[in-house]
Amino acid sequence: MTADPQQLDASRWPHRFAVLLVAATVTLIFVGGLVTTTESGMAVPDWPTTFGYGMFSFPLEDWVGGGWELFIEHGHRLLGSIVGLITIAFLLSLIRCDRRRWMWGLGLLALAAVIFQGILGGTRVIENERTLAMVHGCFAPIFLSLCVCNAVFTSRRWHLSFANADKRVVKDQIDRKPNQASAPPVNPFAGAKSGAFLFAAAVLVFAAYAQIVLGAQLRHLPATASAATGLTFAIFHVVAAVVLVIFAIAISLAARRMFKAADLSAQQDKSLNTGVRQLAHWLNLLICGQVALGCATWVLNYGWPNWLVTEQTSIVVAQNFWQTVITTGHQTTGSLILAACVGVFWRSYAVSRSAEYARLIGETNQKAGLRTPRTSNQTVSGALAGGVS
Amino acid sequence: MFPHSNPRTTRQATLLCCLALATIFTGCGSSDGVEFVLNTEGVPSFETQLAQQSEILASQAESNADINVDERLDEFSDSYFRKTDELAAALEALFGTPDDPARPPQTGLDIDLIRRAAGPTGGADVEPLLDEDGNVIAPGYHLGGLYREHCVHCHGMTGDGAGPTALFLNPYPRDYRQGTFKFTSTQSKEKPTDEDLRRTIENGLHGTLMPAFRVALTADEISALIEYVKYFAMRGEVELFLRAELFESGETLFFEDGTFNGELINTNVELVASLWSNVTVVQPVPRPGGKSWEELTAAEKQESLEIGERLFRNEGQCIKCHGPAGLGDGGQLNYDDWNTQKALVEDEAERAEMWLLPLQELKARNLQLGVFRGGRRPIDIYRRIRNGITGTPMPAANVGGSPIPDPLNPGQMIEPMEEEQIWHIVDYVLSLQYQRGFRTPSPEMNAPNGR
Repeated sequence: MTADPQQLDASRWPHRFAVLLVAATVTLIFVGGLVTTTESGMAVPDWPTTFGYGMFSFPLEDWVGGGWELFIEHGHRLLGSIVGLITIAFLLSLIRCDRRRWMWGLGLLALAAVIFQGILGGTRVIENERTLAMVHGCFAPIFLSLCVCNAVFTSRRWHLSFANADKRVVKDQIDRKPNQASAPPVNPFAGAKSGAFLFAAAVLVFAAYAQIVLGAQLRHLPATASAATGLTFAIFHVVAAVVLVIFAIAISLAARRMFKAADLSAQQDKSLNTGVRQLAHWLNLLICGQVALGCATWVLNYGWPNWLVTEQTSIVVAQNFWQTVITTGHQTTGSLILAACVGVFWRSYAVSRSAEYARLIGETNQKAGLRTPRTSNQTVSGALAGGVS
Repeated sequence: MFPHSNPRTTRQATLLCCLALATIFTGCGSSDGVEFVLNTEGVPSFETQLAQQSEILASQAESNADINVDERLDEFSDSYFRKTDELAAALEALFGTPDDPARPPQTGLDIDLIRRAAGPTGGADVEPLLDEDGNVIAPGYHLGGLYREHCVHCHGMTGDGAGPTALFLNPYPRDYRQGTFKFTSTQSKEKPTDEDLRRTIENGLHGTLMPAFRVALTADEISALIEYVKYFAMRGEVELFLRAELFESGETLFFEDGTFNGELINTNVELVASLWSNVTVVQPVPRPGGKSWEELTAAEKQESLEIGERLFRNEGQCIKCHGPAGLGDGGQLNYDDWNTQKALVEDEAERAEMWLLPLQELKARNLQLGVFRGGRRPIDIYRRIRNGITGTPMPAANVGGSPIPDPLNPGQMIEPMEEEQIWHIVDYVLSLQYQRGFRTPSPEMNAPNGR
């Protein structure tokens, strides 16, 4: 994967659309979760029409006044359509503003994914197939992850890291202006440690997704499943949660230790490292929140565990506000955790490339007999990009 | 869409892709399997029965050389599977399947309501049945899918109370198949009225995970679910009766020519139907003095509570389970009807083979919590005391005028009380939630002079 340092000067619109797409997709996942929680999936029996009307021509008064289930289901469809439109806008902005052809490919992939997801949801309705509802739910975090990738790849930090990292460009610069080129400092995040961290971060991404799929199995348990099956999935989900919490917190703590910004003099490196640390911080918060939401979801749906209370004293109102919001929030937070894990991986990957190339450049300079000291505003990328900060 | 693509082919291709993805997520073994299963609660598995039979025959063969063990085991196996098939076929003929329900007319069940509750979530249209000439043999109808949307995950596809979430819950969800319902307004041990079931569905069961559906469902939808619950119960009871006819009485449900043993089946269906139609709703007697609790003076309230406490400790014998302070610590280890037989089997592996759910103890209610599953209105408490709680050791009050045997303590008798005195116990029970921390009642309350 390469980057064009000139992207630093390129339009910010692809990134803006990518971030908007992430935000809209998270909202869409929450509303989709509401559809499952409130069992509204079949509130509208036809697709892609809604009771014979086009997606956007369904009368507002029927949508708002047609009952909660219809409101949620049609709202989910509208939001899905909006996400599709944003994806198209993102792709167009890429074609217009981004010179990286592989990025165009990712934009196209996002469009294909959102169309596929829409068809999946529609087929679930037409066939009234609950298994497809589960698959539709499991594919949503994959699409969100793709959107996060797109947001990271179009971000200024990403361009910055690859401007720092593009050995070829740097070498040209050294050749052309040997006295002005200087090696960036060796970021602590380089070498064997970075490989191990990246591997662990990649495993975390897959573990977070596996946990989402396990949760979806629990949420979409087939009506014919036995009580033992239900309990098995629940136990797996809880055990996996414990493992995931420990793993994620370890990763985020490692990230906070390895991506220290204070020791770095270059503003760019600080910015890159801070980017990973911020995401690691968010991952920690999300994990803590998710544990709380998971416990609340259990209590609201299945009561207090027997080992904790001797008698249940609550009264459950079917589809009450807190049960609906917390259960759905737990599902959405799972996707957010996956998104944060994907972000941590790609941002740390960017730092590792930047750091590794910086180290190589340092060696190159030393071999060429160039001076290696640098100041905070005299990095290679700074020279290339005109002092980006 | 592509200009020359066949819409049907495209749709099939899309479905194929979706199902391929579904296979990845759900595994290859996923299957709908929407069907009723036979009730084998408390019945050893076929393998166990065969092993037991084999042992018996082997010991008989030692003394009688004419016994051909293998032949007799084959006969046993054939008989077992024939009877099981007969039972399943008879039940399907009488009550249909989850996606095509039926009901014997004798049951008085409303098939339209049952169809509204049955079927897949989101509903489904069943096409009319046509003969070769295109004439309608059976009209089409709509399945509403309410049960599978709201109830099946706890109560199970067959209404066995062993849905996929059942093991998370304490108490377990109700197994309808015995036709036993706890919170009724009818005489002790009788079936509930529709209103009793409606109250449970609308208000939920406080202190359990049975939710209140009064917001999520309309009155009509609840009516459909009530009918479907009764359908499960009647189907389950007919199954138990027919199983006894087959396996214990040696009867057959189908004659050799393949025709129904209509007389036997009808007799059992009518018996079950009569259990549901012959119920007597207990009308509560007025409170003593005709005054409601709110209309009583402070002194009268105090007097009612004192009488209630004495009755609670003496004639009512409530303390045996609920404890002297109503904490549910009376010391009796109890099981409900769904667990009593399980408790008799000590070996856990054997129990796991014979029952869907593990043994669950029944605790007497801690009355100081103020949580009453059957409702917290005075009339609800009155009914629990007056009629008992069916399927549990909570007996009906003895208001018959003469001592009756104590079901919990064989050999002892329960002294009678007057029906209106139940209201004093109601007052006392409802007051306990305001006496948190109350542990040791005063000694004078032991005097049996409640009247």
